Amino acid sequence: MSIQFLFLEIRRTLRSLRYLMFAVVFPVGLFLLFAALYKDEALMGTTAKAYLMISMAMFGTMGTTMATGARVAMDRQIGWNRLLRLTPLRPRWYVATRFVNSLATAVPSLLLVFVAGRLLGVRMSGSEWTRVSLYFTLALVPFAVLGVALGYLITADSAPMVNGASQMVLSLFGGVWVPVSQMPHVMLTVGRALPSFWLGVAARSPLTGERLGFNGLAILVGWTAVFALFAARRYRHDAARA
Amino acid sequence: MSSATPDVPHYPDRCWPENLDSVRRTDHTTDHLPADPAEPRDVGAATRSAGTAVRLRSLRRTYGPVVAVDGLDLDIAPGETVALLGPNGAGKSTTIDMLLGLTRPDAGEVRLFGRTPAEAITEGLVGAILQATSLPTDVTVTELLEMVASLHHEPMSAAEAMHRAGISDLGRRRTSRLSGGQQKRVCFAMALLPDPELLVLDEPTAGMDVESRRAFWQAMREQTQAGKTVLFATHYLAEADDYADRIVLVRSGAVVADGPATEIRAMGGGRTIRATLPGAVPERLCALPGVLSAETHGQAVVLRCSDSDTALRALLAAEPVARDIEVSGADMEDAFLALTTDIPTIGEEVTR
Repeated sequence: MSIQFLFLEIRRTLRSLRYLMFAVVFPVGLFLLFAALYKDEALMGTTAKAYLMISMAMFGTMGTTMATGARVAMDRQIGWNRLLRLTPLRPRWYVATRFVNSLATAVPSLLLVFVAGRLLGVRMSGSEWTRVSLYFTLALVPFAVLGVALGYLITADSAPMVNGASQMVLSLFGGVWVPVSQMPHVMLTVGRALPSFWLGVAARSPLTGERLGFNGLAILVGWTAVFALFAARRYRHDAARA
Repeated sequence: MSSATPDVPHYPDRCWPENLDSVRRTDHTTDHLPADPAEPRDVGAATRSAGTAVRLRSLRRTYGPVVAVDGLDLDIAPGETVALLGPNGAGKSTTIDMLLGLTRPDAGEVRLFGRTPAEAITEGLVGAILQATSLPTDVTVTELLEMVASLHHEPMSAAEAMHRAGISDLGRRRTSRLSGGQQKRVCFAMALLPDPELLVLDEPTAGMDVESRRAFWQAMREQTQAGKTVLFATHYLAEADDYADRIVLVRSGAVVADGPATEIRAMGGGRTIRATLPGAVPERLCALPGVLSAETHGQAVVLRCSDSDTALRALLAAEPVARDIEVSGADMEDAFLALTTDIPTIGEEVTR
């Protein structure tokens, strides 16, 4: 993997206005708004504020990871991927770099929402902060892979719409807009098959005492594999035609 | 002739091949290759191709029903500057994409310095400017070039590449603030980063104004003087004429002519004979020796000739009533049209 390529891509991402809007302004703004509404209510064994903090971080990071799709799609549209293929950079390293890029650019979004949470009075022990952040990041892996896969599926023009819609739907089933404890039965059934539901469960687990369990892990790993296989197939198709 | 269908050129094919062969036989690569007369031209041996910068054999690529490249052969010796000239859709870009390993050929073989395209690229032997590419946004020229340099094994510095491409002043500019021509020159700097032996340029000056075009070729000339091999695709006839040692004319995905500019120009029918001839029959005129193609517009006759002297004698012998005869020299454009147009005659006799 090329570190310079990765770093430049991260710098480019951080510089873009769209990233700032979707990764920082929206999740932090929404958190501030909702936190003011819910005050200090209790929810699912923790506080509403802590639940909302994690939910808005989920919303933001799902958006940034999937936004990688837009970058890959743009690379393809402008022919930058073809220019990169004239360098010794191996195509699989391009894909790997994009994956790390996707995960890495989720971190600022996560951190800023957590900082906002801390400032607004979310109280957790050091161990809880650490475990929440760690489980959260690990459960983001399928979304980072999805981001890369989307890049081979969509065009740069359709990316904002597809990403926006996916972000909304996945957030809904992940308990971002409606707390999991208040979800109707049908929604829970659908949600349990989706990675966003288990991202929520994993990230909240140090606070709520929920466990990811075998099912949750299998769903997260399964979706990772599905997205990875899909990305690999589309990539090969793309490379042969390009 | 009257039975000809619209999609089959009813113009007699024999009007050109004999002339094309004479030029095609001039195999410019053999001068530089180890002499091995026993070896057939189209059988690949690794030892032989090692001495060739570019070696394409029977390349073929289709896109659905469209045959983009149809059995294309090409050899380029180290140090040559070759123009790939042809009309839009002739297969130039597809050929270049296959040459660079960006598109997989359906059939045929590509060797660059005896290696596969991927190997040659990994070793930094090849640099290219591609058509229809633009640079990523939110990044400066220097940042971008430094990153790409880091991908190569033994690159020159970004500053050096910018200097050689003549864009030292653009380093701190964001890519989104560059004109199309400036972007192309950044791509040129990028192509120079591995200090490649072979530069492949797909319509490099498209979108450049006259001044940047001149500056670009000035920079390119420094590369060719340093002994680099250059292959560029263009549909600017003047560019091919001015900058190439050798012009390869492609049509319908195959090479129709290959030679130095002077030879290609001569093939454009070398000269054109115009005359007034009542009752002219294009098929008969075309069959005259030295004539490549014949056009009639009422009594006006235009003959593109490979050998105008022979053609003129034959014309006068066959058509004693021909008058107002003019013989004029041909240029690259005539050659281009004569060699790349599907149906060279549009006279009324021929169309109906």
